[in-house]
Amino acid sequence: MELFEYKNLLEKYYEGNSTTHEEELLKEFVKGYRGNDEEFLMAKHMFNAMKTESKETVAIEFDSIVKNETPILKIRKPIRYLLSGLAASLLVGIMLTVLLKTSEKVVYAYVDGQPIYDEQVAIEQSKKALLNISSQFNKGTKGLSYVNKMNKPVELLTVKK
Amino acid sequence: MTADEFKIEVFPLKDKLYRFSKRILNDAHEAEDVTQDVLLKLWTMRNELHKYNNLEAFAMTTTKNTSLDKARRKNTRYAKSDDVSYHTDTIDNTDQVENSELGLIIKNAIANLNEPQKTIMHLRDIELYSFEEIEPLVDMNTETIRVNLSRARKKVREEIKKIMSYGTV
Repeated sequence: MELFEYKNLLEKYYEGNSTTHEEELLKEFVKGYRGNDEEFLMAKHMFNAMKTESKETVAIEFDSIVKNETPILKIRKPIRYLLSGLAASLLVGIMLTVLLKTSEKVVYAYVDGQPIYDEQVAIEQSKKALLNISSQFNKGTKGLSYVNKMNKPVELLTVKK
Repeated sequence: MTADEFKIEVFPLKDKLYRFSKRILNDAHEAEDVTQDVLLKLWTMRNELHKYNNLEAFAMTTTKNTSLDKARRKNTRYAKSDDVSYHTDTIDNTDQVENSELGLIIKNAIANLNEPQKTIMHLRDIELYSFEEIEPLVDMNTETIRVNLSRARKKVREEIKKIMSYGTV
């Protein structure tokens, strides 16, 4: 094939009209081209870059595919993230609920060992207790007479055998 | 399909699937993930693979859809990656031009093409697919594919011309 024919083939290549066989011929010619024609030199660079790319490989082992019959890691990864998110949300929700409920239940008083959560009931119970105490204050002064004995010598207070 | 059959018929497609995914995603790590996902999917459905007349076309279509899905989710479909450094351990050093600055510029020029030009040029010029094989993958007829391919090749040629005329290489 003459040089001008390769030139035409190159033009056909750029027009996207060349066949697979013609492209093979062109690439073979350009590979061994040692002249100064700019078009052929540009094509040479382009074909070389493409050839390099076509040799690129990936390091995936056959066993790694067979062992992972179900793509557990790849497919379940988003599900795992989703579940983790849900679990975290649930935990936060429970904590907030407990905290809110705890803060709502204020113990205002204890009556017979039982907590009173209602403020009004607690006030009523407190009133009742205070009234009970104050009612005892009006019952005579007899009990106070023993206070005088505090000033007497200790021996008078001791019981004689 | 047995494990041995899968190893012979499907597994060797891994590099092609990886390159195709990388072309779409512009990201080597993402492309590796996609390739693994696709191979796992094919392995999982190995007993149904005999239904497909063209396994490679099916694998490539699955790779394309998975990559596009990933790109959409990550919103990187039109992102231009700076990642033009390829796995050096897989590069053949027989031709010094391959690792030159110009070689990287050409790869970058292809990576920066718009869709579907980028995919079409990749399938035709890197994977050496026929137009009939490209048709179902880009959902276009041969004539439209030729037009897009021509535009893509000319754009890359222009990039090379610019660099060569500046005399930087």
